[in-house]
Amino acid sequence: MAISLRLAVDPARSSTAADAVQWVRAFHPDVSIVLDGDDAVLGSSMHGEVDLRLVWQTALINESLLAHGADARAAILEELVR
Amino acid sequence: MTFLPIRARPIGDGRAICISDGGSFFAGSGEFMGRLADERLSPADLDFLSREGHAVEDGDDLAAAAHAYAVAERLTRAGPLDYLILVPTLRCNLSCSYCQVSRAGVRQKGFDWDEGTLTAVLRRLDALPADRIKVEFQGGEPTLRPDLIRAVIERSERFRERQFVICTNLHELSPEILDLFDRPDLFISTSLDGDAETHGRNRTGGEGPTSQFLANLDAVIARYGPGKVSALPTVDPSTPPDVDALIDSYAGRGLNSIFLRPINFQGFARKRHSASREQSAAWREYHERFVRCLIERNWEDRSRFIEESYFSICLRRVFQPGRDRYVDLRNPNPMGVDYIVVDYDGTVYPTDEARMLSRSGVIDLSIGDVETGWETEQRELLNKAATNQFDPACQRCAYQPFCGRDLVDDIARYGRIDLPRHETEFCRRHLHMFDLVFRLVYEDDPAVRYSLSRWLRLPGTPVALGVTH
Repeated sequence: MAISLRLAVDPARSSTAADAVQWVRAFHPDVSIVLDGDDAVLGSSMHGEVDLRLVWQTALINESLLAHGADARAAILEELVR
Repeated sequence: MTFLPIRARPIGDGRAICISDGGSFFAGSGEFMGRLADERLSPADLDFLSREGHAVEDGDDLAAAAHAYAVAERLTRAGPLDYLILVPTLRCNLSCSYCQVSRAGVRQKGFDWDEGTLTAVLRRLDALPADRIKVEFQGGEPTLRPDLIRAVIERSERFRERQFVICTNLHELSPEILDLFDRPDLFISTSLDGDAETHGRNRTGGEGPTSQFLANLDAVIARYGPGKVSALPTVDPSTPPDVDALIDSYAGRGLNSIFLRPINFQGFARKRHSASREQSAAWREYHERFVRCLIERNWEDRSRFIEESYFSICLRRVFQPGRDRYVDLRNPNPMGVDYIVVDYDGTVYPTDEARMLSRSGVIDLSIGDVETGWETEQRELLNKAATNQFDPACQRCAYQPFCGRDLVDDIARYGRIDLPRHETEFCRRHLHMFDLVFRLVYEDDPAVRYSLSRWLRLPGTPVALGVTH
């Protein structure tokens, strides 16, 4: 049975959410996802609601932490290869 | 400001795995993941992250150094050349339908090392700076030229640590070959596709040759014990053998490691098994069923344990940083540095798969030759892309610290190295492997923990293998 889940997106984080959508599609081909206004709508016949919520949350987390940590990560790698 | 060097991925039980860039990990509950996603972590969350080394506060030099050290531990530092794959002959006395190297016929001329190539190989051995060496003799069928094998081994006596592996189909066992096998520093690697019928269909082509192979396999195991002999099955994913029957064919001979290997999209297999370019969901389900069957059997009979070798490699990549000598799964993956392949004509390749591609006429990935060397532009070009560190998909993948980069695999399957990572078989295969690793790590089942602990070579079985928050 197909499950659909609509989750609100903080308008202040719409750019992060747009990127996260792209990576949900990349890493979870069995999940459909679209941004519908201020909502992310996820669907799947393989995953339940809890899983879908985690798929979305982990994508948001990865996008957000990647952006926030980019400088620190680059500095560490630069230090290590020097 | 707090730096959280972690990436997350659901593991299917209402939790997600959070993995730091240095490879330490914990399972986050749904509630915690919600707070992390909404950027409203509680003081208790922050305390946990800091205590477990998943958060680095601005100005905390000790935490920053510890984190950098953990990241460094996950990066391959290739040492001097100490691992050679040598192909003294491309000739073979079998004709397997999925032969990866498009072997030459047993009576064909011009497919063995000539005098000049042997001399150059020996000179290279003399010049190696390392005090240890591993030499793997591949083919063709290397035992067709025991004289060349012997010349290399004798020249390697000066190395303090040495290991030789002969990859052989065990079709013929002459006294001369057995004399080589008798060396305690020599190991035998062969292929066993399952029961006699399956092995005959895939490789030996008839009842007589199959019986001969099985008799020879049993003879070397009887003579040396199973510790000296390793075997691996090549499996046609479209008709995989019964899981128990395959395990029985190994376990019955005392062989405890089974490297479950689908047909490699190389050599003759590119034409005869074209579906092997991508592995299906059915293959991954088969693989998981296989691993779970091993867990069950290991729990039922605790006098021994059997492992699926590649799963164990991935598991150890998670728990034991620095496991970098499985060269198809490391990052960065420098080529032509600590290991090389020397073909039957003296050409040097960065990997055995690169040799296979060249032999198939797909692309010439040679990086030099044994006489003049391999510090070449070709090698440099390959090494410019030999990391997963800056790939957009890998940057968002929780498993990046454990995963690797295999340029040659991408070239073999797609003819290019710039395909988005998540569209490659390499990525899909390793997402499956590490998903399975973490599902099992967090499965509350003593039988699972028992097998994982044995595969990690732990002295006991911990009550848990992973932290949860």
